[in-house]
Amino acid sequence: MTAYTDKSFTALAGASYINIAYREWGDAGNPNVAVCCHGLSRNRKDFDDLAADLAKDWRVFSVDMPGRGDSDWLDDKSQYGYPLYETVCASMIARMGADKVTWIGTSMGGILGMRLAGKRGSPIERLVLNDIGPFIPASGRRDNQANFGTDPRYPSEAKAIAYIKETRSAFGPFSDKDWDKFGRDSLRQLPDGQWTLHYDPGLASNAPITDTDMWDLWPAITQPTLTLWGVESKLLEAATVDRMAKTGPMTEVFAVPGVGHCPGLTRDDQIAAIRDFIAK
Amino acid sequence: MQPTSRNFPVARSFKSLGPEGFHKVAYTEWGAEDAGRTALMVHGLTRNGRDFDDLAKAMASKGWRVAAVDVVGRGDSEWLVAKKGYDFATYVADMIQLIARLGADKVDWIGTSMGGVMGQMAAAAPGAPINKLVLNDIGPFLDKAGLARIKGYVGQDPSFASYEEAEAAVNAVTGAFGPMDAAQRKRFCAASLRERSDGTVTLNYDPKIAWQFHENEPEDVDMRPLWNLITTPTLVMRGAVSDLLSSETAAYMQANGPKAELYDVPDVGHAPALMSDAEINRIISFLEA
Repeated sequence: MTAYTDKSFTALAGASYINIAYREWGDAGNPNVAVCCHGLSRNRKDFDDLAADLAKDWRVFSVDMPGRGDSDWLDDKSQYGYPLYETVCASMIARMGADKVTWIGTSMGGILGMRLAGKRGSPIERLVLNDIGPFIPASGRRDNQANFGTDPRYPSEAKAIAYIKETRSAFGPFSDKDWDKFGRDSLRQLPDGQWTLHYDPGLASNAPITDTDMWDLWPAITQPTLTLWGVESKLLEAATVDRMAKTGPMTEVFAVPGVGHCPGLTRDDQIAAIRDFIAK
Repeated sequence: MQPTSRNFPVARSFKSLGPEGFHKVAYTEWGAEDAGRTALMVHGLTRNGRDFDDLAKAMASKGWRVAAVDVVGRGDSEWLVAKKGYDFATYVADMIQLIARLGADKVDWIGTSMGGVMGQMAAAAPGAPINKLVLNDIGPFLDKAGLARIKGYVGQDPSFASYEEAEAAVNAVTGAFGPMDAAQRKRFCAASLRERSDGTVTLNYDPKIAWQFHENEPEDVDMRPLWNLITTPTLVMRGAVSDLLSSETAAYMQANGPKAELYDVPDVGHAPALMSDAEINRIISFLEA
């Protein structure tokens, strides 16, 4: 695997500071930069295969949102949310040192991409959305959050990986090796030797789950956009994909058959679709 | 191998997320990108990053990478559409994004007046990316007399027919800045002004930045509870005849919070220009200690 470096910076979270972890690949002098942002319960490591491939021609950053991976957890859980994540992402983009960046976002990371791309003066010049769009049905959100924030404990890493594989089976398609990595990347070991998930269980909120309608964001996006669509996805419906292709930035679509939420970005065809799109 | 240290200014900018989406924040960079230490210099209310040319050049030659920012609405930074965005929340958020931009874990923060208010705010929370703090003629208590004087000139959006006329107007309201020799005074004025497309000359900032002065009567500003949260080593440069930072407040700053070191700049009001060897050497020796 191409070498990467794990780094961090300080971001403002309300009236306090948090440490934000990120992973960096590629030549520091390369002006072509891309940033990858993960889904709700995921972290920066989900992009390792994609970034290693892109790093031949790109400088790639992948960032842990607050409460995930190696970024700080918040004392005040009510501050977890898009306004804070936008600030963190803007600091990440500033950190990258480029004037224009390509945004690659899975699920929640794609929502952040849509929100940031549509803002006045956005430094985002190109957008890749992985199985996410401006409309998410409540049923899909409920499904996606079924085990979110349950703070489980496992006696062994193998048992924990088996749990991940069972509850995240809509990701992929993954080889056994991919599943092992995906599982390991989801976990951390506690001082008592048990295994648990990498993220702050305090991320889960009790807010009622409703349809999420962000169509007001869509026409504000003028950047070239590619959407990877897990054809079996419960979060990104066919009708939404259709409207995304016909309105606003009129996204290109790369459909991944047999996969739900969401494409795992480890297969050659998915990686090639992104590589070809961002090279344009 | 080529020397990497640059003691000339490089104009840079980045996009910062604020109340109206992203806005351009300009900064003047000095020194080597791989320097061991990074300094952030933040100017006063109506000023901009070029005020720090002499200090920045001296620090670059001593091994710092320096970013002298133009706060939003000033110098080469973008103007906001709505005046309400010009507040300390926007300014401090911009600075923390700029520190991320600089690739540094921590910076030495040198703030004149408004830039020192921002520095106190930024330094007060745990985990601040600030190594040391230099406050230039500003503290946690602002006398309303000084604020009333500033209210008298800020944000009037004047139009001058000639550069000489504009220069005279700048000199009239910034007489307390110093000490400066004739050449420094000339550069200070040049940084204060910009030419409009119709050939008239005006000030180098968005007049809307003054909205809080225009909408409120001057009152003493007391930030002493904030001061007592700061643990960052701090040096205070005080204009000995300042109308914004009293000797009582300076004494308070020495006795409380970070227990600041104090350096009085004789015969100067608000604010010391940080252009003399004595001021520059004092700041560098504090930062190097």
